[in-house]
Amino acid sequence: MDRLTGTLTRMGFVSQLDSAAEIYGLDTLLLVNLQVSRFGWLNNGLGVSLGDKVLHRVARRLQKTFPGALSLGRLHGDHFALLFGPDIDRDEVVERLLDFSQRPIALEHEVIVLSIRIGVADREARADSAQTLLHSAEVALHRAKATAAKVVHFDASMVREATDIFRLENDLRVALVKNKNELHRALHNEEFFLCFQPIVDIARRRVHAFEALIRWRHPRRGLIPPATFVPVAEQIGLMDVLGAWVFRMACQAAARWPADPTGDKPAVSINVSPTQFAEPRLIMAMIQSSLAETGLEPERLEVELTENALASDDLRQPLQSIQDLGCAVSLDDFGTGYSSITKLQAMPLDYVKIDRSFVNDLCAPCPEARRKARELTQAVIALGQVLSLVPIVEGTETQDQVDVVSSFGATLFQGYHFARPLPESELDDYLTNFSRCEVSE
Amino acid sequence: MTWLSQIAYISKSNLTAPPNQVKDNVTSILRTAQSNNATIGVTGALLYSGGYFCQVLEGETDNLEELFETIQMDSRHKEITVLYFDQIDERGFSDWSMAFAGIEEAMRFDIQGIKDSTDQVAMRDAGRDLLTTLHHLIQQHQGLDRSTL
Repeated sequence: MDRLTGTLTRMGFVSQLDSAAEIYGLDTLLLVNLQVSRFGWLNNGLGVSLGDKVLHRVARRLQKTFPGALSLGRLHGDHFALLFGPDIDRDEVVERLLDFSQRPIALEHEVIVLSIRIGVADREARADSAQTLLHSAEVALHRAKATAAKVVHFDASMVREATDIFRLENDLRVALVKNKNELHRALHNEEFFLCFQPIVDIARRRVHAFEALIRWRHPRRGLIPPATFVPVAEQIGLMDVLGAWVFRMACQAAARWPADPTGDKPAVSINVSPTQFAEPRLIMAMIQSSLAETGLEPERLEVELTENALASDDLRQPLQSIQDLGCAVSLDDFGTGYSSITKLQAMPLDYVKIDRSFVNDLCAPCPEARRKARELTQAVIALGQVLSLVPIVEGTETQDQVDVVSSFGATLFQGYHFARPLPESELDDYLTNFSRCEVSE
Repeated sequence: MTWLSQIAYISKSNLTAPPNQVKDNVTSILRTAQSNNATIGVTGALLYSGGYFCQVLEGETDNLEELFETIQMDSRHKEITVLYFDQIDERGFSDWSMAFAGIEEAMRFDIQGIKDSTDQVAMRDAGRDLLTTLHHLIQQHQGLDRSTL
């Protein structure tokens, strides 16, 4: 028995689940897992003692709301499970659960309104054991948390997806261990490599910068998109190693790039993930050592971060330090995150990358969609300009889009219209050809 | 030392009966509350306004927390919004285990504004407003027939 709540422990709950499966048959049972959202935040804010009382209240409410439940357990922390026998109305259970567990709790002059997430597993899980049924409800709960849904009913595809993510995570760990020496010494290796997508300046008719983009060539599965593996690397805390490798490799490459026919050398733009910014001193050390090792001029280095990274107020000083070194700071996906305008104004930034979603409909067939897209893009660019931020327009795929956005005052563009991400070996040719084409127009 | 506290809340009624039966139901709730509250030293007042229960409860903090928890488990209401939960020096309704401020057809408070508010000061103001209204209505009722409640 769990001493805090008086409900079953995980072991006790599993034992009763086994018994219930024998008595009623596994496919007649309904298993509901629930977790209190942001309970850690409540514990930190109001103290562990009050947090314990809240958990006790939650357990009591569950007991009172479902006196007919076969079992109630606290599996761990803020994670409870309820087991129901045959002939129970699944939807009614969920409705009552959402209602009663989210009613206010009054304790020690605090009024606490909890929010819960629910994972449900029943016969549709096609479980062959009590453990599998419990696992199914846990997978559904995990999905609810990951997708910010209140309730998720388990279905078989979730296990496949969970297995895929697990394999990807495992493969990523293996790849990082296998290529550990190369990654730590910033050397080429068999699995990870960089591509570079140009950012062009149509007013000065030159390549302003190349954005370094990581690629993973999996030995069996082939190329895995960064959108798939970078979030996993961030979640499992491996982005520091990978991010540092990208940084040093990209600076090395940029130091080799020749001057274009105008005599200037393009900058390199490198993405830094929010998890890397969690340790600002490490970022600064990485930037300084990369510049020192490669001899790259600081003014040719642009550090890109997403709007979500700005959620932390602590970022102002690190970004200022980056600018003080002579490097530029660029805000990616501008207009799609949650940054407030006051926060943007307070941050030391140089460039904003206008997200492709603004550009998509600029030349749409529907006049209304076209008008809206143009007005919105113009407003976003104007906002950037008011904040003294130079806009870089991402996702440009046609000359018409470039013409429209350049009429709003933008001169820096990136997108398939100019080039897809290129291997390093093609950059020299691109530099030469771009200037020649532009100049000859 | 035992502290006195006061809690004010508004909740939506789940009573769907015709008006005359609603009155019976509310009276029944009131009588149960009066009986239970007396045994644990809780006092307070209740108004049924435009399909919402508006209630102030006061008593020793532990008892009040337990009673409020019991009220939360009652399926005859939902969408509970607590306006405040404060320590007090003296009771506001010491003469009543549960005073009744009446049944009104129209909701007298800006319930949507209260529900949507995230501003604790505004909620507290709404709570004080409720407190004043309850006192006022109870005085009116006293002039009528308190024995029928």
